[in-house]
Amino acid sequence: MLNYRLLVLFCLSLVLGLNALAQSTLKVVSKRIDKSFSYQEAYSLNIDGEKAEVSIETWNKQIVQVQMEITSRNVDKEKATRDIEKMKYMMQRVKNNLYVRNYLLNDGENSSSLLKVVYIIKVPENCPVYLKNNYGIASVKNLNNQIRINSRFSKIGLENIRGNMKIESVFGDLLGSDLWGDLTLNARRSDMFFQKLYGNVNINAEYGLIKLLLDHKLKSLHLNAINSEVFMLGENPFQMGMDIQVKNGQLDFPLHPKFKVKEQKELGLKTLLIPAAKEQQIPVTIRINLGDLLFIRKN
Amino acid sequence: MEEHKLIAACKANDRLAQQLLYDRYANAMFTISYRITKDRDVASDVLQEAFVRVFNYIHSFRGESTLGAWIKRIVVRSALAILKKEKKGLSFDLSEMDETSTRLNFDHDTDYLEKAILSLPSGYRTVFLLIEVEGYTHQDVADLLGVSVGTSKSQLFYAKKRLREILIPQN
Amino acid sequence: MEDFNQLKKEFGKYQPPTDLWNKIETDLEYECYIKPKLSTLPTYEVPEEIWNNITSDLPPTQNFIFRHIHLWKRTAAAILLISFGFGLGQWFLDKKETSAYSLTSNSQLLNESLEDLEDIENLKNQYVKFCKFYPGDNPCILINDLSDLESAEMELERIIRQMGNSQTISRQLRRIELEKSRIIRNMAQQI
Repeated sequence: MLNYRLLVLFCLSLVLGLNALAQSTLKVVSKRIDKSFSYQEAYSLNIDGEKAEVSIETWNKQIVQVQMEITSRNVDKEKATRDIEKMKYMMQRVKNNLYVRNYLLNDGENSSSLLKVVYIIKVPENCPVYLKNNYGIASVKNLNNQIRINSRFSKIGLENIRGNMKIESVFGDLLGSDLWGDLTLNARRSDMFFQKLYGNVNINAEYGLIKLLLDHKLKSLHLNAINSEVFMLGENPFQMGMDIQVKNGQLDFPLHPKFKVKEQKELGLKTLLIPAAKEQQIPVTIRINLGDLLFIRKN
Repeated sequence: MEEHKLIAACKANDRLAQQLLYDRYANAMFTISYRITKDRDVASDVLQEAFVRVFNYIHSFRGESTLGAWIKRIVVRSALAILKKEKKGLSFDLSEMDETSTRLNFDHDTDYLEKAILSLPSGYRTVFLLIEVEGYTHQDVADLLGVSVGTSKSQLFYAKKRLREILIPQN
Repeated sequence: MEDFNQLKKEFGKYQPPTDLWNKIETDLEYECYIKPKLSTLPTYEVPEEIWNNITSDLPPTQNFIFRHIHLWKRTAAAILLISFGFGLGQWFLDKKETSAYSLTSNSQLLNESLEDLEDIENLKNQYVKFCKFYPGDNPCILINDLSDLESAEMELERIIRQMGNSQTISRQLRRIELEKSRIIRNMAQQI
């Protein structure tokens, strides 16, 4: 009798537990849209994303292919189905511009579901890309032409880019490797890690953690940072010309008998000047205010 | 003092410049906040909070609008935020109209117009003030109040309709 | 006439909304009688005590800081003449160095744009909503982390106001801000 009662209790709790689990499990509703555009020279791709994961890769076809998937997650499937319609999108060509856009409809009612959009985009190598993304992720690879990115609260990854790059980032995480073109970056509240930089690099940063792996093939680096911590790693910094000024912060550089950090305490200024090889401009200029610079020598 | 010099001095935390800026805009901003909140004490709180924000964040003023427009935006946002915090929110319920506003003779002076505006429910009053008195666009109002442009337009129409009923003798 | 009435019936669906004239009339009368009077609406005088309330919430001014420094300089010189020597001169130099940090601390703290602040507030609200989908053991843990950092920041700012700034405190403040930014970015990625 006791065993029977225990069995009933067990089954009841199992049913209740499963029910609760079913209720708290998120239901997912998704919608998939595919579109292709034939590509011609002078065309450019403009992406305006909201809560979007954007992956851009290149291929050898003269076609821009966009695969877009919208997902809506909610414990209530009906709400998820209703809310997915709040994510509007547009994909069209206007003259030489290919526009791909998604946005949340502002109808006074906020969505109670978790909405997300995933783009997988394939472009020809020479297609310039303009990307605006908020609250998302973007990854761009193997592009030979220019890329311009304007992002808020987004992660950005760049790999093997030969075109020029212009990035504006607020509350972003930036990663880059094998960047051959010129890079201009204005960042606020963004952390960044760049390696294998080979072009002319211009970084303005505020409230950021900046990590740079310097390569001797780098053409030039101009870094202005306020309220930021800068870490640099390089083989032999004394082979590159460097003009470094750190105000109201620490400057930690490998020791050298000839090149020493000079300090002006009353101004809170620390400077280090390493002249470049003859007839060459100093390729690295660093100005930091209210921040620290730590240079680690890579052996 | 020219505006750009005033801004530069305020950015340098010059108290005299801050007071000059405050004196220049305080009355106009108090008027806006009083008309939105309809309460002098709350309007005083709004003004205080708004100007503290103005001086604390004047470094972020990039000159994309006039200084007055920038300050006004802060004041309006502060007023709406305080209304929300006090759980008054914005009302679009016509039954909440101030019943002391009976049909008024339009030939009387603008005090009656002021009373008529203040008698509107807070939601209609805010939309009306922002668009018709302060010169905001429907898009600005939509962004400020978190509503659609269509909603802003319809609320403005209802506000105008109600004012017309109060102020203009209907034959 | 019958044909005309028949046509009217067929075209009935293209007639304007019935309340459209009402709207037009409202606008016309508003434009004619009410709108011109708006420019004559009264302006209200702000209560006098508000300025004092505002200044009590603002950081101390350069004049205030310099007055303190001048006061301490006088005091330091007097004590130097009486009994101390080089030790107080060093203390005076520290104060001068501190003044540079005090002056920069204001601009250090206040460079946020309003748009950023609004976005952060919206983000926090969305994150709290998001946490309800995933209650877990540590709901909204990032919000708690963020408010811990904000408390630490306020404490450091209080120390700066009372005792002046230093390179160490500036660094701590900066690291708190960097950590806050990291948490905010994590929230953004989660939602």
